[in-house]
Amino acid sequence: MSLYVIARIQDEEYALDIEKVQTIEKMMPITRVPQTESHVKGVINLRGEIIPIISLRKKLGLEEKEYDEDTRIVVLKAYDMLVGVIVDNANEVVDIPEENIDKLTFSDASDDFSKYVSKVGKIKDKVLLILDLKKLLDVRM
Amino acid sequence: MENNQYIDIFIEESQEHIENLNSNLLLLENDPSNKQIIDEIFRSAHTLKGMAATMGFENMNKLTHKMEDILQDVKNGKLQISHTIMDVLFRCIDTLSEMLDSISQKGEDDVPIDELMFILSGINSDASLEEVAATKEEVVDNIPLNVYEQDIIKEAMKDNYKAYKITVYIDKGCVMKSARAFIIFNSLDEIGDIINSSPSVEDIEDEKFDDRFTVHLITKEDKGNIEKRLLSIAEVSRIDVEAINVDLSKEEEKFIKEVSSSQSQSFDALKKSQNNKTSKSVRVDIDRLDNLMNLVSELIIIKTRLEGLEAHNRNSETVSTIEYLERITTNLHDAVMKVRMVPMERVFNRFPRMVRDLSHELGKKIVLNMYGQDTEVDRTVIDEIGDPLVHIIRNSIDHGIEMPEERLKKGKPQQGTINLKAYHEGNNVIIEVSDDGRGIDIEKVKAKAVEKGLFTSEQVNDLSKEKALDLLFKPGFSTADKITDISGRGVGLDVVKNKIESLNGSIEVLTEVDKGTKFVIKLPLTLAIIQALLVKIGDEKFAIPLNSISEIVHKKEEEIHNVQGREVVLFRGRVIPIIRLNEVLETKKLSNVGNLVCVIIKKGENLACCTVDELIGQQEIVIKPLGKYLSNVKVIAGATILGDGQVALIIDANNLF
Repeated sequence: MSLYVIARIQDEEYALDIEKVQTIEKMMPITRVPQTESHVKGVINLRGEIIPIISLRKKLGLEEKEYDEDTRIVVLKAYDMLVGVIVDNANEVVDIPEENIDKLTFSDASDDFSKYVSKVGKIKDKVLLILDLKKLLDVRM
Repeated sequence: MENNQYIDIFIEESQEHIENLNSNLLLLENDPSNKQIIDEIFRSAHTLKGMAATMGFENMNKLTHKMEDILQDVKNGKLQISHTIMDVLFRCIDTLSEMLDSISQKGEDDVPIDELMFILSGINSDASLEEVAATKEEVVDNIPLNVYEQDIIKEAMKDNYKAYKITVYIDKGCVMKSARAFIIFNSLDEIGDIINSSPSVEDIEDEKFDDRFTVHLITKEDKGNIEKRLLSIAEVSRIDVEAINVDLSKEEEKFIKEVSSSQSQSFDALKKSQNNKTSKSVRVDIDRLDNLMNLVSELIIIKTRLEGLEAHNRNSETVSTIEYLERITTNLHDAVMKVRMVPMERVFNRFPRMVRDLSHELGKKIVLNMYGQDTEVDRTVIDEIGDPLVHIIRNSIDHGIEMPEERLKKGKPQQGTINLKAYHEGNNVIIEVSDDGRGIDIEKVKAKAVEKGLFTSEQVNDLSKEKALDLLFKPGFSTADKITDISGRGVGLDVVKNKIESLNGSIEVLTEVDKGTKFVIKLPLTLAIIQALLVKIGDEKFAIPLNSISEIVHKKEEEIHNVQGREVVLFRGRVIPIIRLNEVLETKKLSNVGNLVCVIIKKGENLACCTVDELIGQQEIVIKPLGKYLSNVKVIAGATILGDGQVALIIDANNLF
């Protein structure tokens, strides 16, 4: 069993390893942090803890969208950090069987879109892009 | 390995014992006949040995065992404390702490001890002692009865009780040995009284025994009954019951006395030290305290919000309830802060040894006086201040204090003095290191500055004493004539200063030639909670730590001048740069009304004028890190949560200019 949280951006569906998902929150006030890259939206106070927030849209090189009722912050805990990721929607958990997951081998992963996706999962006729958290969170190791 | 979960505790406790040994040995050196100190040292060594053996660290076990032998001789008066013995014991302790380092890094105590063992054997020529404490098995079998216990048995026998020595063998495959032992103890308690047990009850409860233990029991039951009773308990493989008679033969008695004086005494000591510890303190992981702290800060935030809600709804019942809540949260906050405080002792402890070693090495006579070891400081500060202090004290020993002959010539006592002092001053802790040595020669410092090309010789003459002393904190600056092992490589004081400034503290030098030098370090009591000035820049709130603010002034737009492309302003006769915080922090620029609110920020000697849009007020804030993901944001030192749950960023004044 490998469960994934489905996060929607535009019409694309991204999958996040549920093991790494700490919590999913509705939109809340974000305090901007200066001298950061454009995808860093700032920090939030999540029950007494300060958590950096990034925009997945920006990170993937897409236009940003007004936050609405469906906007969610998916708080990830990975590589010793807590980071919240803003997505358009996240309300589904799926089970992708191991054999339906394929590694992507891009000859050049230059465009932002494919840079953060290293695997794809298939469920019936749907294709889910599994996000590579190590790349998404700029972990240099 | 099963022991893994205990290793942290083991390391921490061993460290404490090593520290203990160190300080007690120092005491002993000055007072070699003090029995109490010897006992204390013996106890620490013994506990260390026991812990090392349980954890399976062979080398450590062997070394502490040998140390124990020597200490035993000292205790018995067979061995006189001498310089050689002290040095060897100190070396043992160094080796032990090396082992501990190696254990914490690699999980093994593979530090070579052969040489040390050889030296120790040379000192300890009395072989009979080794036999006494030879193997664990023997100790188990020859469980000693002390005089007091013998008395009990004698008394009991008068009342027709019988005394037995019972050795219980538990199945090797038994999983919960201590639980099994507990059942056996219970069952024995039903038929009589247990006088003592070996290993001790505590050790048995902690499963610190192999597959058997021995108890002494007084009962009215006979041997057969006891055997039957015990063998009916599951997983008991064998029972040896032996009736004992207190009118022991002379030889035996002598043996028992000898063993019990060493063994039981140290068992008692072990128990005593354990008792002390449990009643005095509880070991808590710092993460848990941080968590507690977080929860309390949240409680305070919620309370503030509740107060806000209450303002609309004036009901005397709720008012008094909220006031009560407020009192409790304030007290709770104070209590949690206090829990995080540790006495300075933790840092100071290592210095007597350091001073001793270095002064011996250099052939100097130095006495170290320490005051205010019980001054309490937050954990976060304690962990950071050790290294800078080591550096300063080394400097004092090496450069400050003169050689004995030189001191005599100057009319000073042969023995130099270093004073280490810690005390509270408001929200700060002050640490002073002073010596009565030769002081710092300002002229030499100035000459060095010229030599290094920092100043021309004319410039140097205009330097004030304070300014010149400040040069000492410049990187690569050393006035030592000769470079020694101990200091003088010029990589010292600048590092010290950086460290202290990164802790939001300051350092100052006072010196007088031939009178001495004094370093004064000022540090905040805690790094977790600070006083800050809340300001508005654009429409965002920021906090500026109060200890980096010099003062607040108003300036007019026309007072700003342009010098070489930089905006500056005149402040108390000095030209200082302007830092427009709205630009640095990328906030919205508010329409300028021509009147600037300026926060004068100090960084050591340097000042800068930071413009803000509005002052909100002073507040105590809890610093929280921004997290690893944002660790490269230089101008922000962290974040704090305001009363309304909003996050305000804390400006790092040290990185603004």
